[in-house]
Amino acid sequence: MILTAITLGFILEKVILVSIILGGSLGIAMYSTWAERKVAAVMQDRRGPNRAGPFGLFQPLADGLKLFMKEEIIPTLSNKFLFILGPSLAMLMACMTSAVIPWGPNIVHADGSVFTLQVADINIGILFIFGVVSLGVYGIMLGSWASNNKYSLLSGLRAAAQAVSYELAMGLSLIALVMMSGSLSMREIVEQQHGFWNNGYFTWNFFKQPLAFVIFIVCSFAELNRAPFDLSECESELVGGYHTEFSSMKLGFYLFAEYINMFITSIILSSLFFGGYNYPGMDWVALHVSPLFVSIIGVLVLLGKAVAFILFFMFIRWTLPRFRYDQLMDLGWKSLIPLALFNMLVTGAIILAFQK
Amino acid sequence: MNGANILFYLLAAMILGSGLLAVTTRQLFRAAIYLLFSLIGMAGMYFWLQYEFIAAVQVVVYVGGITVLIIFSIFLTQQAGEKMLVKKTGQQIFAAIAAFCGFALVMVQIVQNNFTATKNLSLSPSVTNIGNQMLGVDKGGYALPFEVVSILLLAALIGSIVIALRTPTQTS
Amino acid sequence: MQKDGLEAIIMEICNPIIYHFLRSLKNNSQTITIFELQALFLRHFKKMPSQYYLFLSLALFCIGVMGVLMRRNAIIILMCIELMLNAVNLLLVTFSKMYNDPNAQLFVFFIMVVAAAEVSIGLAIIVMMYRKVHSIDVHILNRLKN
Repeated sequence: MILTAITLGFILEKVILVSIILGGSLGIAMYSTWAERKVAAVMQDRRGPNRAGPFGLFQPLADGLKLFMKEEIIPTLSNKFLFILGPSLAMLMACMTSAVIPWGPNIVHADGSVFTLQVADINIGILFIFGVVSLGVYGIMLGSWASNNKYSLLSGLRAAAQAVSYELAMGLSLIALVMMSGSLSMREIVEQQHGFWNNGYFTWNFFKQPLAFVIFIVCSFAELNRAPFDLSECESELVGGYHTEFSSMKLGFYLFAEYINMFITSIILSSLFFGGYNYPGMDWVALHVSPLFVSIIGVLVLLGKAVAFILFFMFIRWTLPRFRYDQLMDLGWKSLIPLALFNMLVTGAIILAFQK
Repeated sequence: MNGANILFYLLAAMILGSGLLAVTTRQLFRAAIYLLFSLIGMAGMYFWLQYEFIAAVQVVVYVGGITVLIIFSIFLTQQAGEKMLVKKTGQQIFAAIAAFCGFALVMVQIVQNNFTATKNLSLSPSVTNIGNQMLGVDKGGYALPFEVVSILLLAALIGSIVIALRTPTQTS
Repeated sequence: MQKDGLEAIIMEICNPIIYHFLRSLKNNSQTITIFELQALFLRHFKKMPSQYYLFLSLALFCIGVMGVLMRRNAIIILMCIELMLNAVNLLLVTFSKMYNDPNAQLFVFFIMVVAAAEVSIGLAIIVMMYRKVHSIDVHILNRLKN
């Protein structure tokens, strides 16, 4: 029964892949909270969490347990359905983006069958990411509206305005990248950055589109609601922002979704601009190591790049002060969007000049 | 009844059901959420019809842009839990009857006119084709409408800024 | 003839022709991937009458019309207009599929752009109106009438 065997195998393969990816993202998100505290401690000359386990390594587990045990409070005048939908949507959207990311090179078995380390290789991968990112703001908006709290409402307003205005610059910066690579598929964009050096020039998109990278990373800070753009959850102005009224695991979902988003954004940044699972000297490695290990090394390289980006996000958070809201909007509309348009124009001109 | 039909009916039920709820619910924010589900269902329908690019643009433009704007203005103009005023029952009944009559009229027309699918050339809705046709200046190209529409967008951008500007003479 | 789980499911949801086609493929010991399976599904789907899509589009349009006539909240009226534009988009896509004509899908993009422009202007006006009269009820604007 070849049909059954293969389709069943296919489904099983994808199920295993999805569970590994989700589990891995959750684990990395958990330990990002620990890393964030440690980084903050180092930057402020403190020790950070060090009671639970060696170096405080069990701290995330203790925090998770604490969140589970806490009493769950739903405000009387809130909108219960939306109140529950908010955090769930935030979590769902955080996890959905990982579907189109190529996590590593294909594993080719001896019998010729191929195991792809990507859940879905759809030909509009970048647009999919865009759509999901633009859906991500709904979690915050629903939660803030359903809380029936002035601070939450203000935070939701801020988050929505910020997300809509920075999405534009993000999209425009990516259009330059897409124009250059000529494809909307994530797999193809990563494949084009094979190795590190080719025909006398770097293959990674970062060296071809540095401006697009800068715009994209600034916009991803804004989309992630992280400092210096964490206007929607700044304690000093809005108590706790959109999650003021949330408690127990609902609060945990919001916090978790933020860290998962950070991890996925790091992965997207390294896939689009820093070669994904490609690394210098990968051809030499491919000749000398068995195919399974080639894939494993690729995945590890991608994760290493992502961890570097996560640390960068954290350094920025504990270094830069928060923007004022008008400054944030000025930066988005008056600097980033014109810069992105300019970048698009220059990229188009160069592509035309090289075609002739 | 087979797989294709089941998926179609599910999506259609999602679109129509949430659309109907969106126009009948008394709470404005809920209406926006139902509209959101209706638009997502529509994106699913485009996916099912194999127009992936249109589906993705539908999600990005309608779900990520327009509905966020609508919710944003709900934030600015509503109090939480406030119920909206409705028209008189007579007017509502009249509206429903009018909509139903229009539905029946066009339905009869569609049923009488037997549309038959043509099989002349195979259509490939790839992004490259869309781009070429959208910016083409030859026969079948849409460069002029494209420019007109972009000027419309620019006008809308400037227009909404001008409308939202607080004039110095305004007292409130 | 013994059937295990997945085959039974395929038998159930595909129509018998496709099922026999798949079985004939299997006898030739050709491998068949999920993508081919999807293609088979889609080939079958084309036999579904396109009129259903027209009915869906029409029903959505009428829901939009009903909303515009029924409600007096300006934001709801804008939302109903969005529903109607969506119905038109679905109609265009259906006809594009039916007649294999790529022109129709370009109009979908133009409609989306016009919808975005319309919503941004409309909402700006509504917010301004709220600032002036503290209501977004369209009946308030009838004041000049009597």
